[in-house]
Amino acid sequence: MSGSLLIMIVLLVVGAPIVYAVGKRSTKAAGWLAFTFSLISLTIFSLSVVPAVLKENLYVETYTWAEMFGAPFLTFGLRADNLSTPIVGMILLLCTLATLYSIEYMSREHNQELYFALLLLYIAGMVGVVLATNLVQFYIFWEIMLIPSWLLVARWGTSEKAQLIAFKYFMFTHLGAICIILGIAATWSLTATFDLYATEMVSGIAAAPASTLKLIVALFMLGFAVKMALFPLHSWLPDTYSEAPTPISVILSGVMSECGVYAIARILLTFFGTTFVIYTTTFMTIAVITMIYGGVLALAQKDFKRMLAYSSISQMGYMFLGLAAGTATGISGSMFHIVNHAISKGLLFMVAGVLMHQIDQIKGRDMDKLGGLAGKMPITATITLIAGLSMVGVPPLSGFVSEVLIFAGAFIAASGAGSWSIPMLILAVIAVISTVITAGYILWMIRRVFFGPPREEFENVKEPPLTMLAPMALLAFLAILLGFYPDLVLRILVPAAEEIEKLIGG
Amino acid sequence: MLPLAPWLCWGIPVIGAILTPLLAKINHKVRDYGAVLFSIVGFIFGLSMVPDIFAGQVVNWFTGKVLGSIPYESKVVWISKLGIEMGVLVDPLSVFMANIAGGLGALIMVYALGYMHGDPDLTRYWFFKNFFIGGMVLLVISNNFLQMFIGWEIVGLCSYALIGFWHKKKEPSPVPDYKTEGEYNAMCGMKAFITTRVGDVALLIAILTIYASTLRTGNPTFNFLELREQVEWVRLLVANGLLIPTIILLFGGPVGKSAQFPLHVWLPEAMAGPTTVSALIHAATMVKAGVYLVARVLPIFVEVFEATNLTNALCTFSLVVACIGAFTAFLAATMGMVAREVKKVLAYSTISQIGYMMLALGIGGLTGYVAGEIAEGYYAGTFHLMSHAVFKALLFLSAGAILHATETKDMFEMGGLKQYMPITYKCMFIGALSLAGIPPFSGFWSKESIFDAAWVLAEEAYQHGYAIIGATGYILLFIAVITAAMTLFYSIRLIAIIFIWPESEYIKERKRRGEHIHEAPPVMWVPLAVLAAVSVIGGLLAPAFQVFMLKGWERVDVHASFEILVKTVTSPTIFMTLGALALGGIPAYYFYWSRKIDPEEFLEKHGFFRAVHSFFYNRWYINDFYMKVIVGGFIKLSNAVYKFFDQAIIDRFNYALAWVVRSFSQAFRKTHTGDLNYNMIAAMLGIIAILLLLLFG
Repeated sequence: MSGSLLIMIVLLVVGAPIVYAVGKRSTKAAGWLAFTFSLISLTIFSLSVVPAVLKENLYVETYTWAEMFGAPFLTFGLRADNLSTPIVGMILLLCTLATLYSIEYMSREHNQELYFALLLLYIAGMVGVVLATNLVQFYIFWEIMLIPSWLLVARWGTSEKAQLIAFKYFMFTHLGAICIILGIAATWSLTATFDLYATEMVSGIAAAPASTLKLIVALFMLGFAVKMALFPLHSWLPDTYSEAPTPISVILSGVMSECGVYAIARILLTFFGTTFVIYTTTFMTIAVITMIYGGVLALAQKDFKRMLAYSSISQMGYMFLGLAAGTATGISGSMFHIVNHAISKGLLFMVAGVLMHQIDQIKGRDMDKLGGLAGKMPITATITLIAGLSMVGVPPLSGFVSEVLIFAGAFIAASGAGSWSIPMLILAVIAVISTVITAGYILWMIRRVFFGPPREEFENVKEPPLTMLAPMALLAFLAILLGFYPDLVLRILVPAAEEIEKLIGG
Repeated sequence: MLPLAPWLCWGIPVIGAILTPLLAKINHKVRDYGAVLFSIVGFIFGLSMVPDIFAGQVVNWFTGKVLGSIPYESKVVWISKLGIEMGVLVDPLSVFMANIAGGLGALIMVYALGYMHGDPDLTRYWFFKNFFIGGMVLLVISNNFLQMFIGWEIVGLCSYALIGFWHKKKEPSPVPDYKTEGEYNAMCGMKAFITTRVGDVALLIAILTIYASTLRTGNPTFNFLELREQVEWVRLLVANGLLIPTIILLFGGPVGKSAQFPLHVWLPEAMAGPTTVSALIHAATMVKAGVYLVARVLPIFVEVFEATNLTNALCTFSLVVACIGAFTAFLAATMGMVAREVKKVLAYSTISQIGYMMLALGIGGLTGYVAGEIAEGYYAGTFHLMSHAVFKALLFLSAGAILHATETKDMFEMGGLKQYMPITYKCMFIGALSLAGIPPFSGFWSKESIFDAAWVLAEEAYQHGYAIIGATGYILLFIAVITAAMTLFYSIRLIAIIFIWPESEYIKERKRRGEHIHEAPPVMWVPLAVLAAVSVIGGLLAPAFQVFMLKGWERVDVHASFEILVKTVTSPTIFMTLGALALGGIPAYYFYWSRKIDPEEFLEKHGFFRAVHSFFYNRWYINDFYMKVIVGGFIKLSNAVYKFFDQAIIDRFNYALAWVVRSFSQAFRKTHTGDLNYNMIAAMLGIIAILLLLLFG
């Protein structure tokens, strides 16, 4: 079906006001309607776009945006290929499930119609970023991604400081976005086009002086690094993730930050790869520091959601490590880790939400006050174990495969052509060692929350309702399925990664 | 073999695990018997590969087709575009280990029917137990490092889940730091997971380094046989000085999994799990995974290092393995002599005996270095693995029967059980004798063959002019023999305190309350009897075992004859063994069996022994050191970084930046007074400035 991608995005954008209008009359309907819209988008994507990509590796739609002197001046396109398809699929899936989860989770809140309307816009922003074929379009969606999420954090954030925190989030991300637009402008000055797939793009960059290219890489890198919250640009993240309403934390951590990872692969590695690899060692160092820093700080947290937030920083380090390595194995590992992290971290945030919803908004997230819940919530406990162990990288769960690929990518990068680079090898070794920290904070969390003596005050705690449990069960199932059969995603991702590796010349 | 046996021998238990929650929906009986049945069927598939090894070729029994000769591989694609495969390898070592895991697994599953009867969480138990058996067999039958590592991690996961199986127990914790026994159990599982994870990380680093090297030399592979064939990866590593670090890191995995020094601390705590778990996972199979891995890579190393003239690397590797093995054997035995809990004694003894196996393999490697042949040590190590798997499972299951009957772990709360549990007594006694290496039980033959291998190493080394290795051989032999003395000491102590000593107050109290102690039910003692029988006749299996293990080795020629037994008992080391048995046995007899000397009084009188006792009892303070300095230090560090760096510096810097910007704008705002006069003046000045620029610029 032609136009599927456009219909998908339009559906999400147009859905927002409809949900708002309907929600004004019946609060209950807003959530279900929003869920229906995102589910339809997911269905269109998986039934119409995915088969096309599987068959021909590519599915593009091009539209003329503005004409000038009778010729298209700005075209805008939506491109599903081997790299973007799994990511868009994961975004839509996770957001659909988060929407379903929100229905019950947000049921006690006010202004639900606005919440769900913004949620739909937010989804549209992320999908647009990933599918964009044009730098201006990319930037627009990048900002669309920011604004609804800022409002969502500011309005429904859990602490009294929500507005301050949302402001911090906005300022940081927007600062990153400014770097990105400067990068875009600089690129335009070289190529005279915004279209990523125009021939001028490649030839213009190839002819450009090295210093300009370095500047562009630095600008883009800064912008994406803020989104990914790489050390030391991470300080917006713990506040935002932990104070956002939980379904939004799921999306923020599960897929939004990963848009930065994706953008590095899509823009920096693909078009500026030869400049990017000059800094391989530096980037790997940043990645490893981020991994360890996030992990160490996660160990220090008592607040469940804050612990997960620091853990997200650490996981971003993993993904960046694979990209920084610049090998096909590492890149496909990073891209696959986006999918796996969306599953595992999304699940863990959902668990945090379950605890807050079923126990108490404040007490339910303090790990020191929880304990012995495995007996009361056996299904939630099992799901937590699956998600946690997947993140630790325990087979046969999916996190294992992507982590091994990322590490293998780093080792391959370190092995160089014929002679090992010892600094890079040491970085790779430290990266592997840091998985012990991950195991440490995850298992400690599970022990503190679910094991230990059951407390009397939790006598009446029950499993959450089905609309919260079902999305979690589905994701847990995916973690197991992809662990046994990673080829489901990897056979699409690896060719894309290999193509990038070829462009870099590695 | 039965069709697809190398796949189904682990696939069936895994399927069984997945089906357990579904079977539980029907009813409890179906679930329990179903779980046991799956493990037995899996074992039958594993067993069907044994004739193939003896025959030297793999035959499908149904079609009669010859599939190939040993070593036989069967592969499928896993990650298609990266060329990563899954595969199974049928060779003596893998089939041997698969049958140890599958066979003991099935037997212990039967025992668990009785032991775990009535536990409310049996679904979880059967799930992890079958999943463990599947993972363990997968580990040993994999044809490549990556898949082996998957199995390696699966068994670690199951171990974690099963150690903390009783996390809901509400009795007070045995250790003051935790509130309930359940919380303590959960902590023990976590400790095991994290400690072994340290080793796993080292292993993963080594695997990935080797993989990257093979990729750079043209043919990326994890495959054992291919690594053996192509030697370029070794040259690349050695050119960068990475060969020795890589193979030492590779040994890190076994050190963690097999609880060798310095990562041995988790195994005693692992005893918090149900006894069936301790028997299967923490005595008979999982902790042997490290020994398996060393046995797996040793022949590969011998071959590739010879081909590349790098036998020094083989020497270093083997020396590390042997020394760590010998030291661990000694270290754990000292702790075993003073432990108070039945299962703790057995846990220390397991660590110690695995040390023996590592020692044997290391000796094999060293002999390979000096004389070009590793078969002697290799055989000794694997043979001891087998006999230990049997007698240690026997000891644990006996201990389980006792714990079940007395409901206490402390052996000083037992005593006099001989009259109440005669069958258990006999079986456990046989197990203890076998452990101590008393002839003619299986432990004697296997341990003796290790001593013999050490002796041969020393002799060969001197003959070929390697004086240092020769001396090392004698030192290792000496440590091994001293350890044997301690082994006998704690074996006698264990049996005497539990069965021979007069009844303790605790037992009398129970009797007064009318809780009499009974023999275990048949479903529990029959597996005991089977294992005891194997322990008695185990030594006779040596000739067949040697033929089996060394099948397909080009340089050794083995025939099934009892020569090997004669060789073992006529080795010069037999006198050392007898001396050691006297050294350990006589004091143990006086202290514990005849009770001529009261051990408590003896310690009171001799300050030196009291200090040694306390040093051993506190596990050489290694455990405390790890907990306080490494774990505690790390948590303190992370808190400090959070408080003083992340919050105090980075976050505060951001807020400070925001404050500066705001103050600046506040200050600047003052210039925007809104007064029309000022505005007009400013505008005029601006226009003049522009005009001047245009005129003179």
